[in-house]
Amino acid sequence: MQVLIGQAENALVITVLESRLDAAVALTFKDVVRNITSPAGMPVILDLRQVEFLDSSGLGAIVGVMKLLGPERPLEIASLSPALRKLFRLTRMDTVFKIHDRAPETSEVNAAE
Amino acid sequence: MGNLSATSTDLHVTCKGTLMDVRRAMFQVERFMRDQNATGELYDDLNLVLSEAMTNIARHGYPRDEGTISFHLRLKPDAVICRLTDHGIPYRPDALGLSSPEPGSFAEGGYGWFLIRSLTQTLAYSRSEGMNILDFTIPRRPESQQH
Repeated sequence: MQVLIGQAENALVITVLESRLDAAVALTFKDVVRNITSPAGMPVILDLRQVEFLDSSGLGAIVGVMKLLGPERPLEIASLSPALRKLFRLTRMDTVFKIHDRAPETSEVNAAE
Repeated sequence: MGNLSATSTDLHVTCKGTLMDVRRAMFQVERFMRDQNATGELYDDLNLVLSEAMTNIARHGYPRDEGTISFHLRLKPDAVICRLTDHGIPYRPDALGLSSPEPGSFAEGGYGWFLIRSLTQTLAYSRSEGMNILDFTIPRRPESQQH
């Protein structure tokens, strides 16, 4: 499980480099993301453009990450495929997360795993 | 991993009842559906329903990773039909997933059976000679309803 961490003007962008964010990798995903430090008061945008499949365990891990980050680092979502958009709609998670069509441009990209 | 046989419109897979084996089996489903040119929403729905159902078996049916899971897919012009079997702990889907968790509760689980129920046209569970049998149908949706 590898992610890229990029700094945008007003947000930290975490790009998930995984085609399936499913039950087998959900806990690893949560561990990787929880170890990323980000400044308080700045949103964290999870860029899912490489994720073709998300199941309820992956979704639960994203909700878990949101709770870990807390209100000082609001978690937002970017680049949902039609399949992921449908999952967010069915579970009404589209009412919980701010969803961007795509993530903002970033500089200073680092990898973490 | 497991046994695999595919004829023109059928796929039969047997795998171990672990989350990692379920993940590998779903990559086989992806290849089968792509070979059949059955991508798009029908594949997306099948991917989610079958993954959720197998994950439940791996997690709750085989707590010590000691069994196998089998499924048989048949692709039809208007639907996919699937039979999923295992020899794990019995489950009772009729009581599960009747509603999804409230979004405001920020629940990290409890969506699986709700999603299975939402995306299937028919869903039937039975238990026979120590085997769980889950039969379901996923309809091909008209273009106009896509997403």
